[in-house]
Amino acid sequence: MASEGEQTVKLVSSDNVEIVTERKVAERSMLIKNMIEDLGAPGEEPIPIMNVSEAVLRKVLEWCTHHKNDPAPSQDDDADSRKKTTDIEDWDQKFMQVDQEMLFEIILAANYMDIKALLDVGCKTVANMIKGKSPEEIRKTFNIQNDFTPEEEDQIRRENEWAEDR
Amino acid sequence: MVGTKTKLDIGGDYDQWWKGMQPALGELWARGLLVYCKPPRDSRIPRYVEGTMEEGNVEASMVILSRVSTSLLLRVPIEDRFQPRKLLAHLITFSKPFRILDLPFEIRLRIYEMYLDAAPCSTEVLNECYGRTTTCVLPHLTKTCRQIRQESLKLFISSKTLNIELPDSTDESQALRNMDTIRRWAEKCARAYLRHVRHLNLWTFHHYKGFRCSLSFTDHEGLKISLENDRPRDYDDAKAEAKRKQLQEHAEKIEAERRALDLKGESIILAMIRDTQVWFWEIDEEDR
Repeated sequence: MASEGEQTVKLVSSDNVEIVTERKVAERSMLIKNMIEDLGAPGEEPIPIMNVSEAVLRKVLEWCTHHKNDPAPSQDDDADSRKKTTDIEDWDQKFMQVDQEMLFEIILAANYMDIKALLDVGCKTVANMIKGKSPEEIRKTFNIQNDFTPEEEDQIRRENEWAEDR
Repeated sequence: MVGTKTKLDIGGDYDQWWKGMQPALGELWARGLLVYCKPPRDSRIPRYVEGTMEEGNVEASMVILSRVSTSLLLRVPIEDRFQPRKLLAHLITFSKPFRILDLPFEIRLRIYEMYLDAAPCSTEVLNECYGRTTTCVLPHLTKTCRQIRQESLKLFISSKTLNIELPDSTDESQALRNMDTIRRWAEKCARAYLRHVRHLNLWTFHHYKGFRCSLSFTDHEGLKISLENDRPRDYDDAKAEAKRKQLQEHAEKIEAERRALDLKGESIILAMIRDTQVWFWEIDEEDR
Protein backbone atom coordinates (compact mmCIF):
# COMPACT_ATOMS: atom_id res chain seq x y z
CA MET A 1 0.00 0.00 0.00
CA ALA A 2 1.28 3.46 -0.88
CA SER A 3 2.38 5.63 2.01
CA GLU A 4 0.31 8.71 2.74
CA GLY A 5 2.81 10.96 0.96
CA GLU A 6 2.56 9.04 -2.33
CA GLN A 7 -1.19 8.59 -2.32
CA THR A 8 -3.22 10.35 -4.97
CA VAL A 9 -6.72 11.70 -4.86
CA LYS A 10 -9.26 12.38 -7.60
CA LEU A 11 -10.90 15.79 -7.60
CA VAL A 12 -13.86 16.69 -9.80
CA SER A 13 -14.30 20.33 -10.81
CA SER A 14 -17.67 22.09 -11.18
CA ASP A 15 -17.47 21.55 -14.96
CA ASN A 16 -17.01 17.82 -14.38
CA VAL A 17 -13.33 17.45 -15.16
CA GLU A 18 -11.43 14.87 -13.14
CA ILE A 19 -8.02 15.96 -11.84
CA VAL A 20 -5.68 13.53 -10.11
CA THR A 21 -3.24 15.02 -7.66
CA GLU A 22 -1.05 14.08 -4.71
CA ARG A 23 -2.95 13.71 -1.46
CA LYS A 24 -0.42 15.95 0.29
CA VAL A 25 -1.02 18.70 -2.28
CA ALA A 26 -4.81 18.43 -2.07
CA GLU A 27 -4.73 18.46 1.72
CA ARG A 28 -3.54 22.07 1.75
CA SER A 29 -7.28 22.55 1.44
CA MET A 30 -8.96 21.96 4.78
CA LEU A 31 -12.18 21.19 2.93
CA ILE A 32 -10.52 18.30 1.04
CA LYS A 33 -8.58 17.15 4.10
CA ASN A 34 -11.80 16.85 6.10
CA MET A 35 -13.57 15.13 3.19
CA ILE A 36 -10.75 12.56 2.88
CA GLU A 37 -10.97 11.86 6.60
CA ASP A 38 -14.74 11.45 6.38
CA LEU A 39 -14.73 9.33 3.22
CA GLY A 40 -11.80 7.09 4.17
CA ALA A 41 -10.12 5.14 1.32
CA PRO A 42 -8.60 8.14 -0.50
CA GLY A 43 -8.09 7.82 -4.23
CA GLU A 44 -11.06 5.58 -4.88
CA GLU A 45 -13.95 7.95 -4.45
CA PRO A 46 -13.74 11.15 -6.55
CA ILE A 47 -14.06 14.31 -4.44
CA PRO A 48 -16.43 16.89 -5.92
CA ILE A 49 -15.25 20.50 -5.70
CA MET A 50 -18.63 21.94 -6.53
CA ASN A 51 -17.92 25.66 -6.80
CA VAL A 52 -14.58 25.64 -8.62
CA SER A 53 -14.09 25.29 -12.37
CA GLU A 54 -11.26 23.27 -13.92
CA ALA A 55 -9.11 26.29 -14.86
CA VAL A 56 -9.32 27.75 -11.37
CA LEU A 57 -8.87 24.40 -9.65
CA ARG A 58 -5.68 23.74 -11.65
CA LYS A 59 -4.37 27.16 -10.70
CA VAL A 60 -5.19 26.56 -7.02
CA LEU A 61 -3.47 23.16 -7.15
CA GLU A 62 -0.40 24.83 -8.70
CA TRP A 63 -0.20 26.99 -5.56
CA CYS A 64 -0.80 23.96 -3.32
CA THR A 65 1.99 22.04 -5.06
CA HIS A 66 4.50 24.84 -4.47
CA HIS A 67 3.43 25.12 -0.83
CA LYS A 68 2.87 21.43 -0.11
CA ASN A 69 5.77 21.27 2.36
CA ASP A 70 4.83 24.43 4.27
CA PRO A 71 3.97 23.81 7.92
CA ALA A 72 0.29 22.92 8.26
CA PRO A 73 -1.87 25.70 9.64
CA SER A 74 -2.76 25.10 13.26
CA GLN A 75 -6.36 25.05 14.47
CA ASP A 76 -6.05 28.28 16.44
CA ASP A 77 -4.38 30.08 13.55
CA ASP A 78 -7.06 32.72 13.54
CA ALA A 79 -7.26 36.09 11.82
CA ASP A 80 -5.34 37.91 14.55
CA SER A 81 -2.27 35.72 14.54
CA ARG A 82 -2.02 35.70 10.75
CA LYS A 83 0.56 38.01 9.30
CA LYS A 84 -1.12 41.27 8.52
CA THR A 85 1.50 42.99 6.39
CA THR A 86 0.92 43.31 2.69
CA ASP A 87 4.33 41.82 1.83
CA ILE A 88 3.99 38.92 -0.57
CA GLU A 89 6.82 36.51 -1.24
CA ASP A 90 8.22 36.57 -4.79
CA TRP A 91 6.80 33.24 -5.96
CA ASP A 92 3.31 34.11 -4.71
CA GLN A 93 3.50 37.54 -6.28
CA LYS A 94 4.30 35.97 -9.63
CA PHE A 95 1.57 33.38 -9.12
CA MET A 96 -0.92 36.21 -8.63
CA GLN A 97 -0.01 37.87 -11.92
CA VAL A 98 -3.29 36.78 -13.44
CA ASP A 99 -6.19 38.75 -14.85
CA GLN A 100 -8.71 40.30 -12.46
CA GLU A 101 -11.37 37.66 -13.08
CA MET A 102 -8.93 34.83 -12.30
CA LEU A 103 -7.78 36.65 -9.16
CA PHE A 104 -11.44 37.01 -8.14
CA GLU A 105 -12.05 33.31 -8.77
CA ILE A 106 -8.88 32.25 -6.91
CA ILE A 107 -9.95 34.23 -3.85
CA LEU A 108 -13.42 32.68 -3.91
CA ALA A 109 -11.96 29.19 -4.43
CA ALA A 110 -9.45 29.62 -1.58
CA ASN A 111 -12.31 30.69 0.66
CA TYR A 112 -14.54 27.78 -0.39
CA MET A 113 -11.75 25.21 -0.23
CA ASP A 114 -10.57 26.67 3.09
CA ILE A 115 -6.95 27.41 2.17
CA LYS A 116 -6.22 30.30 4.52
CA ALA A 117 -2.69 31.06 3.30
CA LEU A 118 -3.83 31.33 -0.33
CA LEU A 119 -6.82 33.44 0.68
CA ASP A 120 -4.41 35.77 2.50
CA VAL A 121 -2.17 36.11 -0.56
CA GLY A 122 -5.23 36.95 -2.66
CA CYS A 123 -6.50 39.51 -0.14
CA LYS A 124 -3.03 41.06 0.11
CA THR A 125 -2.88 41.39 -3.67
CA VAL A 126 -6.17 43.30 -3.62
CA ALA A 127 -5.07 45.38 -0.58
CA ASN A 128 -1.95 46.37 -2.53
CA MET A 129 -4.19 47.69 -5.32
CA ILE A 130 -5.73 50.15 -2.81
CA LYS A 131 -2.54 51.33 -1.11
CA GLY A 132 -1.48 54.89 -1.85
CA LYS A 133 -4.52 55.72 -3.99
CA SER A 134 -6.94 58.63 -3.81
CA PRO A 135 -10.66 57.87 -3.32
CA GLU A 136 -11.28 58.51 -7.03
CA GLU A 137 -8.47 56.14 -8.04
CA ILE A 138 -9.85 53.45 -5.70
CA ARG A 139 -13.30 53.88 -7.28
CA LYS A 140 -11.79 53.30 -10.73
CA THR A 141 -9.82 50.27 -9.56
CA PHE A 142 -13.01 48.61 -8.38
CA ASN A 143 -15.46 50.24 -10.78
CA ILE A 144 -17.58 51.60 -7.96
CA GLN A 145 -19.91 54.58 -8.08
CA ASN A 146 -19.62 57.54 -5.75
CA ASP A 147 -23.08 57.36 -4.19
CA PHE A 148 -22.60 59.83 -1.34
CA THR A 149 -25.28 62.48 -0.89
CA PRO A 150 -24.08 66.13 -0.81
CA GLU A 151 -24.58 66.04 3.00
CA GLU A 152 -22.36 62.97 3.32
CA GLU A 153 -19.72 64.55 1.07
CA ASP A 154 -19.82 67.55 3.36
CA GLN A 155 -19.37 65.37 6.45
CA ILE A 156 -16.38 63.60 4.86
CA ARG A 157 -14.81 66.96 4.08
CA ARG A 158 -15.30 68.05 7.69
CA GLU A 159 -13.59 64.95 9.02
CA ASN A 160 -10.43 66.01 7.33
CA GLU A 161 -10.49 69.75 7.79
CA TRP A 162 -10.76 71.54 11.07
CA ALA A 163 -13.94 73.61 11.05
CA GLU A 164 -12.66 77.05 11.96
CA ASP A 165 -16.06 78.68 12.42
CA ARG A 166 -16.34 78.79 16.16
CA MET B 1 -10.13 63.76 -20.30
CA VAL B 2 -7.21 61.37 -20.46
CA GLY B 3 -4.02 63.16 -21.37
CA THR B 4 -0.89 61.60 -22.77
CA LYS B 5 0.75 61.91 -19.34
CA THR B 6 -2.09 60.12 -17.52
CA LYS B 7 -0.84 56.89 -16.03
CA LEU B 8 -2.83 53.78 -16.83
CA ASP B 9 -4.06 52.07 -13.68
CA ILE B 10 -6.29 49.18 -12.73
CA GLY B 11 -9.79 50.29 -13.68
CA GLY B 12 -8.36 52.77 -16.19
CA ASP B 13 -9.68 53.28 -19.70
CA TYR B 14 -7.13 51.40 -21.82
CA ASP B 15 -8.47 52.51 -25.21
CA GLN B 16 -8.41 56.17 -24.23
CA TRP B 17 -4.93 55.77 -22.72
CA TRP B 18 -3.65 54.10 -25.90
CA LYS B 19 -4.96 56.99 -28.01
CA GLY B 20 -2.74 59.30 -25.99
CA MET B 21 0.13 56.82 -26.09
CA GLN B 22 0.28 56.39 -29.88
CA PRO B 23 1.55 59.85 -30.83
CA ALA B 24 4.22 59.60 -28.13
CA LEU B 25 5.45 56.31 -29.55
CA GLY B 26 4.98 57.33 -33.16
CA GLU B 27 6.79 60.63 -33.05
CA LEU B 28 9.12 60.48 -30.11
CA TRP B 29 12.71 60.99 -31.14
CA ALA B 30 11.52 60.59 -34.74
CA ARG B 31 12.23 56.91 -34.34
CA GLY B 32 8.68 55.63 -34.70
CA LEU B 33 8.84 53.38 -31.65
CA LEU B 34 5.23 52.42 -32.35
CA VAL B 35 6.55 49.86 -34.80
CA TYR B 36 7.74 47.67 -31.91
CA CYS B 37 4.26 47.61 -30.37
CA LYS B 38 2.30 46.40 -33.37
CA PRO B 39 1.74 42.73 -34.11
CA PRO B 40 4.40 41.49 -36.62
CA ARG B 41 1.99 41.19 -39.57
CA ASP B 42 1.04 44.88 -39.25
CA SER B 43 4.38 46.33 -38.43
CA ARG B 44 6.27 45.57 -41.67
CA ILE B 45 9.56 46.13 -39.94
CA PRO B 46 12.23 46.81 -42.55
CA ARG B 47 15.11 44.38 -42.48
CA TYR B 48 17.63 47.04 -41.46
CA VAL B 49 15.55 47.86 -38.36
CA GLU B 50 15.58 44.29 -37.13
CA GLY B 51 19.19 44.69 -36.06
CA THR B 52 18.20 47.37 -33.58
CA MET B 53 15.08 45.51 -32.51
CA GLU B 54 16.24 44.85 -28.98
CA GLU B 55 17.22 48.43 -28.32
CA GLY B 56 13.96 49.69 -29.75
CA ASN B 57 12.01 47.23 -27.64
CA VAL B 58 13.54 48.61 -24.49
CA GLU B 59 13.02 52.22 -25.55
CA ALA B 60 9.39 51.64 -26.53
CA SER B 61 8.81 49.75 -23.27
CA MET B 62 10.31 52.57 -21.25
CA VAL B 63 7.95 55.08 -22.87
CA ILE B 64 4.98 52.81 -22.12
CA LEU B 65 6.08 51.97 -18.57
CA SER B 66 6.52 55.63 -17.68
CA ARG B 67 2.77 55.97 -18.22
CA VAL B 68 1.69 52.98 -16.14
CA SER B 69 0.89 53.11 -12.42
CA THR B 70 3.09 51.10 -10.04
CA SER B 71 0.28 48.85 -8.81
CA LEU B 72 -0.55 47.89 -12.38
CA LEU B 73 3.09 47.50 -13.38
CA LEU B 74 3.72 45.11 -10.47
CA ARG B 75 1.21 42.69 -11.94
CA VAL B 76 3.06 42.38 -15.27
CA PRO B 77 5.56 39.47 -15.24
CA ILE B 78 9.13 40.80 -15.19
CA GLU B 79 10.15 38.87 -18.31
CA ASP B 80 7.44 40.62 -20.34
CA ARG B 81 8.02 44.17 -19.12
CA PHE B 82 10.45 44.98 -21.92
CA GLN B 83 8.54 43.19 -24.67
CA PRO B 84 6.17 45.93 -25.87
CA ARG B 85 3.65 43.63 -27.55
CA LYS B 86 3.40 41.30 -24.57
CA LEU B 87 3.46 44.26 -22.19
CA LEU B 88 0.49 45.88 -23.93
CA ALA B 89 -1.42 42.58 -23.98
CA HIS B 90 -0.96 42.34 -20.20
CA LEU B 91 -2.00 45.97 -19.72
CA ILE B 92 -5.26 45.38 -21.62
CA THR B 93 -6.10 42.48 -19.27
CA PHE B 94 -4.82 43.87 -15.99
CA SER B 95 -6.32 47.34 -16.36
CA LYS B 96 -9.84 45.94 -16.06
CA PRO B 97 -11.51 46.72 -12.72
CA PHE B 98 -11.60 44.18 -9.90
CA ARG B 99 -15.10 43.27 -8.65
CA ILE B 100 -14.52 43.85 -4.95
CA LEU B 101 -18.20 44.44 -4.14
CA ASP B 102 -19.10 41.00 -5.51
CA LEU B 103 -16.87 39.26 -2.96
CA PRO B 104 -18.47 37.93 0.25
CA PHE B 105 -18.45 40.48 3.08
CA GLU B 106 -16.00 38.55 5.30
CA ILE B 107 -13.39 38.47 2.52
CA ARG B 108 -13.78 42.19 1.90
CA LEU B 109 -13.30 42.75 5.62
CA ARG B 110 -10.03 40.80 5.51
CA ILE B 111 -8.90 43.00 2.59
CA TYR B 112 -9.76 46.15 4.57
CA GLU B 113 -7.84 44.82 7.57
CA MET B 114 -4.74 44.24 5.47
CA TYR B 115 -5.03 47.63 3.81
CA LEU B 116 -5.58 49.45 7.11
CA ASP B 117 -2.69 47.67 8.81
CA ALA B 118 -0.37 48.49 5.95
CA ALA B 119 -1.57 52.03 5.21
CA PRO B 120 0.19 54.52 7.44
CA CYS B 121 -2.66 56.59 8.80
CA SER B 122 -2.57 58.90 11.77
CA THR B 123 -4.51 57.90 14.85
CA GLU B 124 -4.29 61.45 16.14
CA VAL B 125 -7.85 62.63 15.74
CA LEU B 126 -7.41 66.02 17.34
CA ASN B 127 -4.32 68.05 18.09
CA GLU B 128 -4.20 71.61 19.24
CA CYS B 129 -0.61 72.07 20.08
CA TYR B 130 1.80 74.57 18.61
CA GLY B 131 -1.17 76.92 17.98
CA ARG B 132 -2.70 74.78 15.24
CA THR B 133 -5.66 72.47 15.34
CA THR B 134 -5.58 69.42 13.15
CA THR B 135 -7.98 66.53 12.83
CA CYS B 136 -7.69 62.94 11.75
CA VAL B 137 -7.23 62.07 8.12
CA LEU B 138 -9.26 58.90 7.66
CA PRO B 139 -7.93 56.34 5.16
CA HIS B 140 -8.99 57.12 1.60
CA LEU B 141 -10.79 53.80 1.40
CA THR B 142 -13.46 55.21 3.76
CA LYS B 143 -14.26 57.96 1.27
CA THR B 144 -15.08 55.88 -1.80
CA CYS B 145 -18.74 54.85 -1.56
CA ARG B 146 -21.39 54.33 1.10
CA GLN B 147 -21.10 50.57 1.35
CA ILE B 148 -17.31 50.47 1.67
CA ARG B 149 -17.41 53.43 4.07
CA GLN B 150 -19.93 51.72 6.30
CA GLU B 151 -17.95 48.47 6.30
CA SER B 152 -14.44 49.90 6.73
CA LEU B 153 -15.03 52.93 9.00
CA LYS B 154 -16.21 50.80 11.91
CA LEU B 155 -13.26 48.45 11.52
CA PHE B 156 -10.75 51.29 11.35
CA ILE B 157 -12.09 53.34 14.26
CA SER B 158 -12.89 50.49 16.65
CA SER B 159 -9.57 48.70 16.17
CA LYS B 160 -7.35 51.73 16.84
CA THR B 161 -6.50 53.75 19.90
CA LEU B 162 -7.24 57.32 18.88
CA ASN B 163 -5.33 60.23 20.37
CA ILE B 164 -6.47 63.70 21.35
CA GLU B 165 -3.68 66.08 22.27
CA LEU B 166 -4.49 69.46 23.81
CA PRO B 167 -2.60 72.23 25.58
CA ASP B 168 -1.99 71.89 29.29
CA SER B 169 -5.07 72.90 31.32
CA THR B 170 -3.35 74.61 34.19
CA ASP B 171 -6.08 77.23 34.51
CA GLU B 172 -9.80 77.08 34.14
CA SER B 173 -10.03 79.20 30.99
CA GLN B 174 -7.67 76.84 29.12
CA ALA B 175 -9.65 73.87 30.42
CA LEU B 176 -12.83 75.48 29.07
CA ARG B 177 -11.16 76.11 25.71
CA ASN B 178 -10.07 72.47 25.57
CA MET B 179 -13.55 71.25 26.37
CA ASP B 180 -14.93 73.49 23.65
CA THR B 181 -12.39 72.15 21.15
CA ILE B 182 -13.36 68.56 21.94
CA ARG B 183 -17.05 69.40 21.77
CA ARG B 184 -16.70 71.01 18.34
CA TRP B 185 -14.61 68.11 17.11
CA ALA B 186 -17.21 65.61 18.37
CA GLU B 187 -20.13 67.50 16.88
CA LYS B 188 -18.62 68.55 13.57
CA CYS B 189 -15.67 66.43 12.52
CA ALA B 190 -16.17 63.09 14.18
CA ARG B 191 -19.95 62.76 14.09
CA ALA B 192 -20.01 59.84 11.65
CA TYR B 193 -17.47 57.69 13.46
CA LEU B 194 -17.72 58.58 17.17
CA ARG B 195 -20.10 55.70 17.85
CA HIS B 196 -17.36 53.29 16.79
CA VAL B 197 -14.69 54.70 19.15
CA ARG B 198 -13.51 52.10 21.65
CA HIS B 199 -10.11 53.38 22.80
CA LEU B 200 -9.15 56.99 23.19
CA ASN B 201 -6.20 58.75 24.81
CA LEU B 202 -6.87 62.26 26.01
CA TRP B 203 -3.46 63.73 26.30
CA THR B 204 -2.84 67.17 27.66
CA PHE B 205 0.34 68.38 26.11
CA HIS B 206 2.82 69.50 28.68
CA HIS B 207 5.28 72.28 28.22
CA TYR B 208 6.84 71.11 31.42
CA LYS B 209 4.56 68.37 32.80
CA GLY B 210 1.22 66.71 32.21
CA PHE B 211 -1.17 63.85 32.52
CA ARG B 212 -2.33 61.35 29.98
CA CYS B 213 -5.85 60.16 30.38
CA SER B 214 -6.83 56.93 28.64
CA LEU B 215 -10.37 56.02 27.92
CA SER B 216 -11.39 52.60 26.81
CA PHE B 217 -14.82 51.28 26.28
CA THR B 218 -16.11 47.82 25.53
CA ASP B 219 -19.64 46.52 25.77
CA HIS B 220 -18.38 43.84 28.10
CA GLU B 221 -16.25 45.91 30.48
CA GLY B 222 -17.92 49.27 30.16
CA LEU B 223 -16.08 52.56 30.33
CA LYS B 224 -12.64 52.76 31.85
CA ILE B 225 -10.71 55.93 32.44
CA SER B 226 -7.17 55.76 33.68
CA LEU B 227 -4.70 58.50 34.38
CA GLU B 228 -1.02 58.35 33.74
CA ASN B 229 1.39 60.89 35.01
CA ASP B 230 4.03 61.38 32.33
CA ARG B 231 6.64 62.57 34.76
CA PRO B 232 5.74 61.10 38.14
CA ARG B 233 8.48 62.97 39.95
CA ASP B 234 7.15 66.36 38.87
CA TYR B 235 4.01 66.04 40.96
CA ASP B 236 3.97 65.27 44.59
CA ASP B 237 2.21 62.02 45.34
CA ALA B 238 -0.70 63.48 47.27
CA LYS B 239 -1.65 65.89 44.48
CA ALA B 240 -1.39 63.24 41.76
CA GLU B 241 -3.38 60.81 43.88
CA ALA B 242 -6.13 63.38 44.46
CA LYS B 243 -6.37 64.08 40.71
CA ARG B 244 -6.48 60.39 39.92
CA LYS B 245 -9.25 59.88 42.47
CA GLN B 246 -11.24 62.78 41.07
CA LEU B 247 -11.01 61.36 37.55
CA GLN B 248 -11.90 57.89 38.73
CA GLU B 249 -15.05 59.17 40.42
CA HIS B 250 -15.88 61.13 37.29
CA ALA B 251 -15.47 57.98 35.20
CA GLU B 252 -17.68 55.96 37.53
CA LYS B 253 -20.39 58.59 37.35
CA ILE B 254 -20.34 58.56 33.53
CA GLU B 255 -20.29 54.78 33.45
CA ALA B 256 -23.39 54.66 35.68
CA GLU B 257 -25.11 57.15 33.35
CA ARG B 258 -23.99 55.24 30.29
CA ARG B 259 -25.53 52.04 31.58
CA ALA B 260 -28.72 53.71 32.76
CA LEU B 261 -29.27 55.82 29.62
CA ASP B 262 -27.53 53.51 27.15
CA LEU B 263 -25.22 56.31 26.01
CA LYS B 264 -23.30 55.78 22.79
CA GLY B 265 -20.15 57.29 21.21
CA GLU B 266 -20.75 61.01 21.01
CA SER B 267 -22.78 61.14 24.23
CA ILE B 268 -20.03 59.36 26.16
CA ILE B 269 -17.36 61.78 24.95
CA LEU B 270 -19.56 64.80 25.71
CA ALA B 271 -20.44 63.46 29.16
CA MET B 272 -16.81 62.76 29.83
CA ILE B 273 -15.66 66.31 29.11
CA ARG B 274 -18.55 68.24 30.60
CA ASP B 275 -17.09 68.77 34.10
CA THR B 276 -14.34 71.34 33.59
CA GLN B 277 -13.13 71.07 37.14
CA VAL B 278 -11.91 67.55 36.49
CA TRP B 279 -9.82 68.53 33.52
CA PHE B 280 -7.59 71.22 34.88
CA TRP B 281 -5.10 71.23 37.66
CA GLU B 282 -3.54 74.04 39.53
CA ILE B 283 0.17 74.14 39.59
CA ASP B 284 2.10 75.82 42.33
CA GLU B 285 5.04 77.94 41.42
CA GLU B 286 7.29 75.41 43.08
CA ASP B 287 5.97 72.66 40.74
CA ARG B 288 7.26 74.57 37.75
